[in-house]
Amino acid sequence: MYKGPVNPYHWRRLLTMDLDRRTVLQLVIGLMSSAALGQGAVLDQVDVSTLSSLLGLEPGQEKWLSDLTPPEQAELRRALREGGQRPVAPRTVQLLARVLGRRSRLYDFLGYPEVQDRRSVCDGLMRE
Amino acid sequence: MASCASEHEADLCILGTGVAGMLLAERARAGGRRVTMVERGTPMTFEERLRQRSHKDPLAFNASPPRSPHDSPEKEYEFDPVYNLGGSTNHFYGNMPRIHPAHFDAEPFGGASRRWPFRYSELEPYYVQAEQRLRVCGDSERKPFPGHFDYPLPPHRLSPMDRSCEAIFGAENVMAIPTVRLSRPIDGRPGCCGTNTCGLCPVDAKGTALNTVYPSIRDSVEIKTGLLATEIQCRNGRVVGVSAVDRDGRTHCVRARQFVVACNGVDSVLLLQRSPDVPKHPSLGRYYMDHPDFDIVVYDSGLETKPGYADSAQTGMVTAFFEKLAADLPVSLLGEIKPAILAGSLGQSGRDKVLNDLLGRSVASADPPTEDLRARFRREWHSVVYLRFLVETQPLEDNTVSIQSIDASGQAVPLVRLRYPDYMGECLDRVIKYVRKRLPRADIRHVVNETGVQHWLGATRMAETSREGCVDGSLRYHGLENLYILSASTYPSSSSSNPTLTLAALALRLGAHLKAT
Repeated sequence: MYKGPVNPYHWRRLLTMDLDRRTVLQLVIGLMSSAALGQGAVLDQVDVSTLSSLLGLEPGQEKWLSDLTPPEQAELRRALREGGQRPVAPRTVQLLARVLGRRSRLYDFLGYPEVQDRRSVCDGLMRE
Repeated sequence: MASCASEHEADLCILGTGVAGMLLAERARAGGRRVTMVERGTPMTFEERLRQRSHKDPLAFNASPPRSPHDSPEKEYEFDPVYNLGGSTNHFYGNMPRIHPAHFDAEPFGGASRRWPFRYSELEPYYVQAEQRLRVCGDSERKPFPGHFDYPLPPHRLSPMDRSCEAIFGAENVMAIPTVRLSRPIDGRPGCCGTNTCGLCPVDAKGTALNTVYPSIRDSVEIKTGLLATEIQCRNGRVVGVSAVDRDGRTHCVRARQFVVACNGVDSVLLLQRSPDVPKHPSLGRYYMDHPDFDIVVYDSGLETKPGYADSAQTGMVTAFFEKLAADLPVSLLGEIKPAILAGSLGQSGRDKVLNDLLGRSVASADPPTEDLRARFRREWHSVVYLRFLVETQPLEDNTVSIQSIDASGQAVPLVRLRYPDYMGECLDRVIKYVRKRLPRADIRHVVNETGVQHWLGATRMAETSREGCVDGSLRYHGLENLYILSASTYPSSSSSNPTLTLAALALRLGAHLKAT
């Protein structure tokens, strides 16, 4: 059964109640935070994609970037975009080494045959 | 002599079971002599070594000796032996070059140097025998040593980095390094598969005393393991016996007509020093040497080097500085080309240093950043050259080996003093200058240097008189007619070559000498 439009009095009453006002504020803050987080998630994806492109990662290699936190990814992205700086900050090299330093990733990055991080018997060196 | 828990009699007693001791035992046994060997380690099978991922024998006396202090503030020297049946070949990398004739026949550089008391031509036939017996792989067509001889097995193919080094050092100065890492299957052992972990070869492709000589003496030579030789007893200019202790502290005695100390180049010295009856010559424990080394990396060489591609851990060597006189250097250098360094795992210092440099260079070269990092990194990676140079050591009187203490097990703990050579900087500068002249646009960096690579040389050196050395040209200890020292500690000069093949040749030469006497 239709009860007609909401009585504005009820809204005023709602806002005059301390407890309810706090609840509303919490609701508003929560909504804003959610929006910000949602936007952040979108930005992170852009960051990862940009960073992956700057590094030249191929499909399937993007997951290596998860070894860095989002702020570290952003930091590395900025450093690579700036590029050409001498000397390169040790921090930039450190972040890159975390992404690419493992033997399996390095070989993959170079286009070498696949290897494990721990040497198996006969994959220490590549044969021509 | 202390009361003996057991007594052993032989024609020949050999202390130590490294490749030299085993080769000598094999020759003596073939000549019909009764041979007893004394070894502080215990027999470990190849499978046991693989299981424990180490060649270290947990039952050997003092399996983990303390570090030796070093008197230079620049570098700490570490004496790091591995005691076990078969000795150091169990864990060495297997490079087997000869010593260049110049070190035998020409005047050595100044200071306290002494010539070898015999010429290269006298040792040459034994070099050939040792290479045949130990299955050395090498290039018979291109070798830096004179003489008409063939290596028994073909060399490993030169790696791309080796071939690129020909542009730097000249094709005549880059060649396959002689090695006991098999280039093809033989004697039931597989060829080297490039695992790059030669210190404990996982497939037994690397030649060791245990997989070459030991099978032929195992059943015919008495090998007393778990015994630490503690004293050589002498009377009237002759050795009459050797005492050794077991892990329970009981003394065992060996009597023989002839005795050979074939422990490593430090422990042989300590045994002579701790034996009251043995004459203490002025050179005993002095003139100690090891091979210091330095690594250089050439970035942006403009060459196609392909690090990580090779058939074995090391396939090529640089001989441009092998003859010090020709190269106008104060000492000789043996260059090792190291494509395998960069194929290591994360955490290895040399590899990480170079990798970080390459990453940094790749970032820095993005100006403007039109290429992705992968393209720039690949370019950097594929043009890098990694070189290590072993440096000849000047024998100095104050580089010494002495007894620091005797521990509870009866083991002599060494005190090794080795001053880092002051000519290392000059050698480094000359090599960099040499490379820069040929690659003017390359970026050449000094990566790392070490005080020594565990080649224990010189502290019982050869000379014709007891005033200048401890043993004569036949390796007989001056003043004792039946005691011989078969160790790299007898080398009067270090050269820049890995010492094992020369020691094997000396073992065969000593075998011939003992047969004749």
